Amino acid sequence: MIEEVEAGWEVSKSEVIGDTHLVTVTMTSVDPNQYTEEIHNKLHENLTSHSHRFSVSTNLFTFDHEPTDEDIEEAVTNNGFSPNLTPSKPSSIKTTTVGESDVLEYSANFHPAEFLELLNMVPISLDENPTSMSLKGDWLHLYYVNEGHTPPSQFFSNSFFLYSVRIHRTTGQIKRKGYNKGLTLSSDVTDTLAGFDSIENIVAEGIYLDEPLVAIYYMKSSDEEDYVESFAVVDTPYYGTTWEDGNIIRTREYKRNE
Amino acid sequence: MAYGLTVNNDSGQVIIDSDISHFHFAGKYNSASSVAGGTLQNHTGNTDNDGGNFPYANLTSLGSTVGHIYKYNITQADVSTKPPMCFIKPTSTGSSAPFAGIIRMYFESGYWKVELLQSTQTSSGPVLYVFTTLDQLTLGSDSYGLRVMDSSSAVTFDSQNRPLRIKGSGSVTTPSLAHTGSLGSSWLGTLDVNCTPSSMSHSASSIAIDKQIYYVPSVAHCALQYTHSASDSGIHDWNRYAWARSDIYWAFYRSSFRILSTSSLQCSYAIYYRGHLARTAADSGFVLGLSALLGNIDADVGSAGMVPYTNSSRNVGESQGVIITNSDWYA
Repeated sequence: MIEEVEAGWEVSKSEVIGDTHLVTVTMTSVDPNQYTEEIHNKLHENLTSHSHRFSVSTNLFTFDHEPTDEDIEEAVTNNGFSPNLTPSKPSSIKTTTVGESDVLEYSANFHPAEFLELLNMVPISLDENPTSMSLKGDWLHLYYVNEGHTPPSQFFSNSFFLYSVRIHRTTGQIKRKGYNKGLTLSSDVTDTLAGFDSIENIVAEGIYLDEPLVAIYYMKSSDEEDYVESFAVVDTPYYGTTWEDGNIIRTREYKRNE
Repeated sequence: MAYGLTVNNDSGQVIIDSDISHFHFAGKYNSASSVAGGTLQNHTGNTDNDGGNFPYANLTSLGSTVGHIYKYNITQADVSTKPPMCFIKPTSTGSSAPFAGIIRMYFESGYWKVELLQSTQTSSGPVLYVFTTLDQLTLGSDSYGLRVMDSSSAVTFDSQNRPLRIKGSGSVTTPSLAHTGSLGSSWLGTLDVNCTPSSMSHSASSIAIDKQIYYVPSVAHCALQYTHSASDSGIHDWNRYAWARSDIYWAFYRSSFRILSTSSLQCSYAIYYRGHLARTAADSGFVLGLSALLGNIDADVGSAGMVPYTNSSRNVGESQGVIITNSDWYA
């Protein structure tokens, strides 16, 4: 259920003491995203990140004259009030790689037009639509995030936290990768990865099922502002490095497209 | 009049009148005990970590610095009808000195109990210079000086008992509020005293600043309240989440004073009582109203009996008399 809360401010108490006008104001802020019931249900079905946040504050403001609505509006605004909370609708995820064009990943729910355009390029029949997509060169990337981390059975039989499938837009060739949170690779594997010892704050790993590749995703630094809460949500930018036969072949940066 | 004595100064003001029970020095008093001002703080309820955005910030903060209360036991024969007059010798003076004011007097267990509120705690509290009428004191035995009696032969003035000598006086008006402007934002109330102190000039500048003592009761007070509530639910990182949080901050202030310079005294506030309650739930259906914080009474600490009212003040805006004298005269 989506709670209906009206945003704005109202005077809940006013008094004059001497030359001072005391005005207590109640301020209500809401998430500006408006979902239809259909979209909202879809968000929940797909476990797509979204929120229904709102807040209410009461605060005292003083004036040396009887305040007008404009005076109060200015005072509450100066105190940081906005009827809209920070929009929770995420922008697309941008992947940046040196020497390559930036790539945007579009959500089926939040960027339906772009998503549909990519989905229509898929040359094979899909049992299950992905939750987001991107296009890198001739490869369509399909990302699956399912409740309970259930694998998309058309492509995977093993369980991962997230799943991606690359499909060549003309040949239909398929390559698969599963993602795990943290690092589960054994030292037998990581010892073969050039420069692995210099990598800290690992947030996830990528297991390629059809290629001799390994990817590791890690925070940009140990600074607090670089802490990655969720590598899948990409709330904080981070890096991902890919090795082929133990040699680094690329490092990408993942972030939201601001 | 047919009997008695009246002494006036050059301005015609009465200095001694045999029909008036003059105040005389009854002693210096250090505090017998002290205690921090009242604080009520707690957080109860669950949180929802799955959301990743539960607002943990300042769940146990207080948002203000409470004052310190010094307690004095004044010895006096009559502990029911004649409260003593207490001058304050502050712990320090100047623009960094704490503000202090006597907020309560009552008689109990053979003492006049005096409570003094100071805006910050100091290692030793202010010293009280206490004055009372002569019927509460032992009269001197010297065979010289001036002693004046009323028509009932009650002594009303005796130079041996060091009568109160007023060196300077004035009037001061308490600021309208202890904190002007916004009281906070998001999950943090900022209810520390933040107002421009009012000032008063007086004519006792010939007394060294560290020798000045003042008499002015704390009669003004104010109470401020800030609240913030939020609720959220949805999907985050492929997990369903829901949480709600409601916070209420408040502070109750009493007027208090300090000596700013040899010729001026300031009035501001000290926090007598403060609080912060936070209630949380892993459920966005949690009532956002603050009634849950306060026993379903009202979304207002005033209505819940925490303070007498909220976001207002009392006994401000009126000139209040201040008396200054010299502590060296009563060493």
